[in-house]
Parts: sequence; C-alpha cells; structure tokens
Amino acid sequence: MSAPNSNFDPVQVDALSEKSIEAALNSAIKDIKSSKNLEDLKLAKINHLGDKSPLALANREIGSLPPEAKAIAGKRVAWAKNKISEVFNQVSTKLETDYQNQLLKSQREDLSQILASPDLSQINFGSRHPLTQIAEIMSDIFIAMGYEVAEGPEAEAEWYNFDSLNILPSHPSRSLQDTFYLDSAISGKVLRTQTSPVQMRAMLNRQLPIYIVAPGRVYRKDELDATHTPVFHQIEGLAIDEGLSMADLKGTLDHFAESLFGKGVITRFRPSFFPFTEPSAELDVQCFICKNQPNPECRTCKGTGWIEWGGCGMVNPKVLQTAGIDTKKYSGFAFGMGLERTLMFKYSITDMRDIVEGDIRFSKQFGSVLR
Amino acid sequence: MRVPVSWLRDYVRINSNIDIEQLHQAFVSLGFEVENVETYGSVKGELLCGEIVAIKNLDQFKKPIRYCTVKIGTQTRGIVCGATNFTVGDKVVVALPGTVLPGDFEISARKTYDHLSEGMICSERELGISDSHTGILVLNRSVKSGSDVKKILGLGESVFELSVLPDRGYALSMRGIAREIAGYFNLKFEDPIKQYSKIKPGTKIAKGKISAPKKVSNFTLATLSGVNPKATTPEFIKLRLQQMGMRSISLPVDVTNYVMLELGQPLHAFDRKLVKGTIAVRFARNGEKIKTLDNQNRSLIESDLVISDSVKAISIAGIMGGANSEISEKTKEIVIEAATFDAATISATARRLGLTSEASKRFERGCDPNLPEYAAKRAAQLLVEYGGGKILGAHSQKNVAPTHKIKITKEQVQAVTGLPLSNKQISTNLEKIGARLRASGNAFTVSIPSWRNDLLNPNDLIEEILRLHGYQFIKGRLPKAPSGFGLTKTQKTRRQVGQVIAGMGAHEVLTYPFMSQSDIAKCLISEKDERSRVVTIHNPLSEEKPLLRSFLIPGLLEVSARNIARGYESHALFELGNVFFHHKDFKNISKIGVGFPPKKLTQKEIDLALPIEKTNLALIAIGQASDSGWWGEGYKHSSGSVGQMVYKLFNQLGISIQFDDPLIEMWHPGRSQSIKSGDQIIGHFGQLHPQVAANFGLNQEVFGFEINLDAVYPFTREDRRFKNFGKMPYAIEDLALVVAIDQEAGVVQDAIMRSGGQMLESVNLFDVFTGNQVGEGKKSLTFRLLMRADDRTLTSEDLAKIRERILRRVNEDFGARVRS
Repeated sequence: MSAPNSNFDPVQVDALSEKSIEAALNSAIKDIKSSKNLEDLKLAKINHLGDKSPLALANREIGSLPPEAKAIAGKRVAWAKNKISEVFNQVSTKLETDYQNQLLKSQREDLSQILASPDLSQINFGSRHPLTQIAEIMSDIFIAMGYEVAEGPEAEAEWYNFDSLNILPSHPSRSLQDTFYLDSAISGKVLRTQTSPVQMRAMLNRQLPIYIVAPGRVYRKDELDATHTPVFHQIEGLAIDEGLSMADLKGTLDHFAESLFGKGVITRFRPSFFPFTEPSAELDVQCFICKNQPNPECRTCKGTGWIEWGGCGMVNPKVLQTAGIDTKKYSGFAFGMGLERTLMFKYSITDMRDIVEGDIRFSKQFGSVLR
Repeated sequence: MRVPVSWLRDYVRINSNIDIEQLHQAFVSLGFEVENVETYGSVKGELLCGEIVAIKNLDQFKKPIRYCTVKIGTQTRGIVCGATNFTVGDKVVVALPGTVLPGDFEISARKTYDHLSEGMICSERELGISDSHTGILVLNRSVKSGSDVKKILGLGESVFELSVLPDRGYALSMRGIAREIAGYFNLKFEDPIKQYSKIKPGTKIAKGKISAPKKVSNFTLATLSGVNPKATTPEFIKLRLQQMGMRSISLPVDVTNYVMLELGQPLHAFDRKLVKGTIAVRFARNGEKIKTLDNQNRSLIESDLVISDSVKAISIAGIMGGANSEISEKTKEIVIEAATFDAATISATARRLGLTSEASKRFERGCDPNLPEYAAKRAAQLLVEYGGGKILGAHSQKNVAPTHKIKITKEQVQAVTGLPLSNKQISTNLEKIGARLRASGNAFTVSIPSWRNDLLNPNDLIEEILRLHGYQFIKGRLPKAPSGFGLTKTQKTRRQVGQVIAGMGAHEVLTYPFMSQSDIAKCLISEKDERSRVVTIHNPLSEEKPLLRSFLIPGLLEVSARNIARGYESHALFELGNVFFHHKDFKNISKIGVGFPPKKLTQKEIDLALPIEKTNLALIAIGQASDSGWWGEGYKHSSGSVGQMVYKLFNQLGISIQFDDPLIEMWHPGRSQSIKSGDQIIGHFGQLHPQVAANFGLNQEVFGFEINLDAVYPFTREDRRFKNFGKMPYAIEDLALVVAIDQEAGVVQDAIMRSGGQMLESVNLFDVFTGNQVGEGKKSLTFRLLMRADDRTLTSEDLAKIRERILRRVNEDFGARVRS
C-alpha cells in the first residue's frame, strides 16, 4: 500500500495508469474472444471481471487518490469494465447459440424413415372413389355454366327408360339379354340402362328453360371383364331453351372438354343414331396427350388423335312432344358419356375390374384430391 | 359391312387421287365407323393360272406327296405339292420362282422329296386371302392357263370393314354404300338398278300368297328351270363373297348372297321339287316345328312369320330357310324368294330364337319394298348366265305404302344445324341420298326414297343434310343458361358426408347393388325387418345374387374379405349408395307406349309402383386404424372409434343424435348402439355380431356402422349460429366420480354439463377405472372440467360453487361420490 499523496498525479498509482488499464482491457478481450466454449468464457469472466481481476484490484486503489484524480481514474476503470462486458456479451450470445444448436443437432431424428415406410401411417386419411370425384368435377363444370344437378331413381319405370325416349318395344336393348327387369318381365320396371330417363323426368317436372346434368349409376346385362361391367356410371346433360342448335351443343361440349382435359382440347362430332336425338352424333374428344400432333405410339388415343367419349344430339322432337313441350318454340340438346370410360382414358387405367372391385390400393392412389 | 374398294368402283368413278386415307375419312364423316382396313393378300411378282396335266403320287413318304406336271400357258413345270384336293384338268394358282408371297416368302426352284420343284401351287392362306389351308386353291376351269390371276383373286385390294348404324339398313349393300361415297366426293352415282329391270310374270311358275298382309309388303317368287346342278360359281363372285367374309357354297346360294350384298335385298332359293302347291307367307302356329338349314330344330310361336307350302313350313321368313326345301347338288328347278317383311316381326323372332343371319340383319333394319322384283331378276339372270336353264317368270304380290313425303323449310334446317345453309345446299345434299324435292321458296316437299324407312320427320332430314354437308363444319357457341342455384341441400350434404368420412381414414368403394337371400340370413335379419322387403331381379346376371340390396353391409363385407385376401388386413371401407325396398303392396306398371305423355297413369302412380330407394352410408373397419411403428403405438378400430366417427360426422353436419340400445341382431348386443335423430332410429354402429362376421368368413372383430341418410337430410341445418367463446382466464379441474359399474357415462356427462352452470365451458370424460380401490360393482369416471367467466377472472368461490352444484346433482341422480 503506497503512502498518501499530496499532489495531483494519478499516474503515481501504477495500477491505475492509462497504460495498465489498457493492458488489462486488452488481455481481457483477448481471453474472452479466444474462449472456445461457455466454460472458457466463464473463467475469462472471473479472471477479468471478478473480484480479483486486475481492474477490480485497480479500482480499490482509487480511494487512495487525491479527490481531483478519483473521478478521472474512476471513469477510466468503468470505461474498461464496460468495454469488457460488451465483448463478453457478444461472445456469450454466440457461444450460447452454438451450444443450443449443438444440443438440438444431437437430437437428430432420421426423417427419411417416413419414406422408408410409405404404406404405414400414424395419421390416416382415406379416399373418395375416383368415380365419385370425377362425377363431382364434371358436375361442377356445368354448375359453373348455370346448370343444376338432376336425379332420378335407379329402379326405373320401363316407360321412362325406353318408351318416353322413343325407344320402340322391338329395340334390341329392351331384351332380357340386355336389360335387368324387376319383379317380372312384364312389371314395367327395370334397372335403368342409361341416365337418360332423368331427362324425361326433368322435362316433365321442371320449368323451362331447362339446363341440367345428371350423373348416376346405370345397369346393363354385361359380364364383368376388363372393359365391361354390368353396373357403371354415366353423366347426362340436357338443355331445353328457345333457339338451341347443334352449334350450342358443340360449344358446350368444347367448353366441357377444355375444362376437363386442358386448354385447347376440342371435340369432334360424327354422325350417329340414338332414338332420342335427331340429329345424333358420336362425340370424340381430342387426345389430350398428343393434342395437335397425333403420335402413332400414343396409348391413350391409339394413334388416331381422337378418343371416343360419348353420344349427343338435338333432342328428338318426338321426345319433346311426349314431355308436352311446344316444339315450335323450344328445342334442346342432350349428351351423355361414361364415367368409367372417362376415368380409364384420363388416367390410363386398363382393367375395368380395378374400378369395381373395391381394392383399397385403387382408391388410395387417387386419395381425395383427384385432378 | 365389308366394302371392297374394287366393288365400290363399279358404281362410283373414284378418281385416282382419292386414296385409302381419304376414303377412310369419308366413311368416318358419313357416320360409318371404320373397324378395319385390310389389304387383301399382297403378292410381289407373277401369280399365274396353271392347269394340272399329270399327277404322280409319291408314296414313300410319311404323308401324301404329289409330283404334278403343270401347264402354264406355253410352258410346263414340275411342282411338288402336299395337297390332294385337286385332279388332272383342274386350274390352280402357281407362284413361279422369284414371286414373293405374304410374309416375305420368296419362291425358288429347289429339290425336295427327290424331285425338282419349280414353283409352288398355292393355298388361300399362303396367298393371304383367308385362313383356309385345307387344300390348295382350285380355280374355276374357265380361267385361262397362263393368265395372271392376281386380279381374279383381288390380291392387293383394300377392303374396309364398317360398322353400320342400326337405322341404316340401306347401307348393308354395295349399292347403298356407293351412293354415300358418291355423295361425299360429289361424284356421279351409277345406280346398278338402272341397268337392271323388274322380273316379268310367266307361266308354269310357283305362285305365292301373302296371308299376313300387315307384316309383308312384297312377296315375289321367281321360278327357273333346267339349271345345271353341277355348274360352278364364277371366280368374280367367289372373290367378292370371300372379300365380304362369306364362303362359296354352290352357284344358286352364292348368287343369292351376291345379289343381297350388291343390292341389299335378302333372297332365298328353294328346290322347287321339294315344295308343294302355293307358297304362302303366314304366321306360324304355336309350337310349329321347323328344322333350319343349320340343322337345328326350331319351335315357333304365332307371332313368327313362316314361308310354307301347302303342307309344311319351308322357311322362317327373313331369317333362315328350312332343311326340307334346301338346294342340293341335284337341284334343277329353283324358286327364288324376294320379299319385304316387317322389321319388328323379324327382329322379335330372331331375338327369341337367338338366330341371326345376313338376311335377318337386313330385314331388322328395314329393306326397300320396291326392290324384290329387281333383285329376283338380277339373281335369275346370273343363275342362267352361269348355270344355264331359263327363267320361267315371277309371281309377285304387293302391299307397298305410297311414297312418304316430308315438308321442311330452310329456316328449320338453319335453326337445328346452327349453320347458314342455302336452299341449294339443302336440295343438293338431299338429292345425294336419292330424295326428290319440290321447292317453293324456302320450303321443300321431300319425297323419301323407298329404301330410307328411317326418315320419318323433318329432323331426320336435317341430320341427312348436315351429315352430307359435314358435321365438322358445325361452329361451336355457348348458350346462355339462366343462373342456376347450384347444388341442392341434399346434394351438398351427400358430398360433405363422403368428405368427412374419407377425412377420418376410410376408403370409399362402390360395390354392385346386388345381393342374395342368404346375405339377409347371414346378417341375422328377421323377416319382419324392412331389409327383408327386397326387390327381385327377374333376370339377374347370376342366380347367386338375384336381389337388389336393401342394406350395404353385405357388399362391404365381401370387399373387406377381398382386401384381406390380398394382403391388406387393416382397413376401413365405406359406401354411400342406394338401397331398395318394395312398398308393402306394389303393382306392375301397365304399358303406356312410345310417344305418349303418361296420361293413363299419373307420374305419381308410376313412382308408387317403383321400389323405394334410400341412400345409406355404411362403413366397415377391421384391424388397425393407425399403424404402430418407429413413431410409436397406433390404435385399433373399435366400437368406440367407429362410434366417434358417427358422432363427429353428425357434429360436422350440425345434427344432434342420441344413442340407444341396439334393436337388430346383426350387431354385437353388448358393443353396439342404435343411432337416433329425434325419435327416429336412423342406423346402428359398433361391433358386428361375431356370428355375422364369421358368416362372411371373417374371424376377426369387425366394426362399422350403417345409417340411412334420407332420414337425416331434413335435419341438416343451414341456419347454424355462431356461438361466442370467452377470452377471460380459464380454470381446469379434474373430477373423479365413483358410480355404479353399469352407469352410462354419457348420462353423467350430460348431468354435469347441465348442472355446472354458465361458467362451465366443457366437460370431457378422459379416464375410466375399475378395481379394488373403487370397490366392487363400482367404477371411477374422471372428467376434465374447463371453466371460464365471460367478464372476469374466476375466483375460488366461483369454482367451489360450480363443484358443489355438480356434486349435489350427480349424487342425487347417480349416487356418485368423489373418489378419494
């Protein structure tokens, strides 16, 4: 301990000299910055900011200084302490973060395990049948055009299914080989062979103009094989209004095709025959895979550039008359296509049985987000 | 219908710049689907006619081998041949060395069976004409030795195979097809009928009589005598028959077939010696028997038409001749029948007998009633030309309707087609189909050709105009539909139900809605149950499933078993589909007929006679609902898990439901509940009765539900109100209550909720415990209570009050006490 000083010269106390403080500061910063981990840092803190650190010891000397010098020496020590704390905090934050990251990294899980167990799941979600979904997608396109969805019974009167649609009693489709009859051959009740009876029900019960689509299940006496099923689905469309022509039919179906298969996909009409439409047309849709450049190898259209899709035409005036609609004022068009068939060519499904058998691997592939 | 291009050229001068691709396009555009285009045999190099001069049988080999001396024009060659179906003097087809047969088979001179073979005598298969390889092809002896036979055999020709629409009978003939092609390419159509004439009456001829006048519009019989029974069919007829897919049988049969293919008029030839008296066309007698040409005995009914002589039926009209009057190799006197029968009658008989023929196919679609006299004459002439003899004449009885006339206007045509077609375009296109027109301004009176029985009203004609103009010219435009109202409430609900159930892990399947009586028994369904009021299919696909389903579970169980068999033992499947029941007393729906509004029966009466259709939702769950794995334990499907699905579903739909004891035996008596909406039972959930599962071959526990959705549609609420929820601090307290072991927890929860007051926000049972600690016959139910006030922080007094109220209530109602 030095003797009391009478003159003003803080330098006389060596530990408080500018040089000593600077040296203490530099040594502290060096130690702190070179800390490799939180332990090193803790030690550096004790060494440089602790009770026995050079600065703490120097601080004690202040008391022995003359009053004029106390302030300057005090400031000098405080400045150095602050500087050290500042650096300490910086390094501490960094080391703390590093430490946390290290810790989290050590908790690593192998999330590729998810990919390693594709068929197992902690969280299960199911699926809706692609037929259900495509029926909704198709219906929604027409709903956007102002149509409504109409329905009718699957166990239908022979009159609605055949007679009312101008299908004569001699028509081969009415035979017991082709149509399921209910109760007896003369009951007048069948399992509908097409969604078209919904047309007649709509015409008899709705107000004009009529714009409807009718998706639904239909029945024909075919054995199940790769391309046939006795129970299948169709979607039917009907529009009755003033001044409708084949042009309106074509425009509607082009819009439908484009909405369902993609921009620029159009339809083609070929002459055909259906008792309930006249003129009638086969409806082809342009192959949405090879589009404008038919590819002979294309499996979707078999190289023709076109895919057979359904049938359509102007509602036969006889059918309109049956429904009591004034054919001088109103005309209409109708169209229909198979949902299974649409699903098969749209998604390259080659065996009809996969659609009907209920194997969960079929629906699972599509999930609930058919697109 | 097959169409050899060379035959088409007989009636249309198809320019050389129209290639096969364009013809293909023409057929498609005209409404004939092209099923196939065949190139009929393609041979490179010469193919010549040779005459067999000598045959030496080589006996030393395992199979018969002949060494033949063949004269080909001026040259003579030795050829080894393995066939035996020819004799000296026969004309055969010879491929000399250098000729390449189909399959890149090049003929060379080589030594075989100890002889030098300088060429090959060809079979039909070797030439690519047919699959026939029973022997070599023997030509008609009139073919000149040394001449090129490629043309005679039609080699290298294209043959189209078309599918003809059911209303276009006229197109089942070369005449009909040629008219179409001429129209498409704007070429002149050389109608073969213009070259032919009607057959004339004569003496000593077979006489005919129409005894069913409404069903026969022309009955013409041509009689020939002195036809050489040994005469052979000329090569051009043989070739064309073969290109059309028919076999050559004998000259008379070949000629009748040829004329049918040419003109579209089916013909039938009888051996006159085997026919007695007048030949009549009449209705059959019930049970009348006839043996047809295919040697089958057929039994007829009184709506069938037959051709008969004074003693017996000799043919089923329009379908197939009888064996008793068949042409044979002794026949010299021939009667050719050319008639026009009613389409529906022929179709019904053909269908009933399961017997279709080239003739019936044409009659079913409708034939030209003005054609028989021409066709009979054409056939008779061909027979005389190639078989000798003479035409004695014909007897014809007719009942032909006058020409049908249809009026149309340009405005009508434009309104339907949406195309600005001119009067000229309308008349030109109608003339192309053979119609005659009388125009008056923009109006036309159109005389329909007699072969177009399909054209009945203006729209039929408009289709023809559009077809010949080209469907490809229709320009699309979008009609302006009035604004719609979107999906109905029911339709929306149905979509949502599927989405919610799929969201809970189940996969939708669509099973066939067929079932059997045994399915009902296997599900332990009683006779009194509605599900027993099933609808029967009169003609089911399989006798195993002759009923329409009245519930969905059996179909799902079948699919479930299939998935298990395929290695997927854990799954949840659901179906949203129709089920069918009969009304207690149901009637047949009497015939109303085509083209009548349902006046005789009201729509309501029709609907009442139809089965009742309901929409059900059912689910089957087996095994794990969520898998166990590296992530931890999964959970199993259970009565509880499927019940939660039901509960959550109705929660989403905003419908309140209650559970009650199960009422049908299909379900496990201790692990299932019925579902009630109001007073109505709308379904069941839980575990299936183990016996039911076992009846479907499932030995594991099967869970599921089946709900009738129609019953709940009316309860789906669209006026749901949002309920405000509090944001003040909350308090949570667990309450463990000891109650009797058979006490229903749901009732206790309800009592707590009701007695807790406004500050009790939610109550959830989260633990159930039985054991010594709670005493015998008791169980402990632990509920978690979440409490909150609307306007302030709860105080300990608030909590104490709530607790006190609840405890008093549950103690009074259930004797519950707090578990210590």
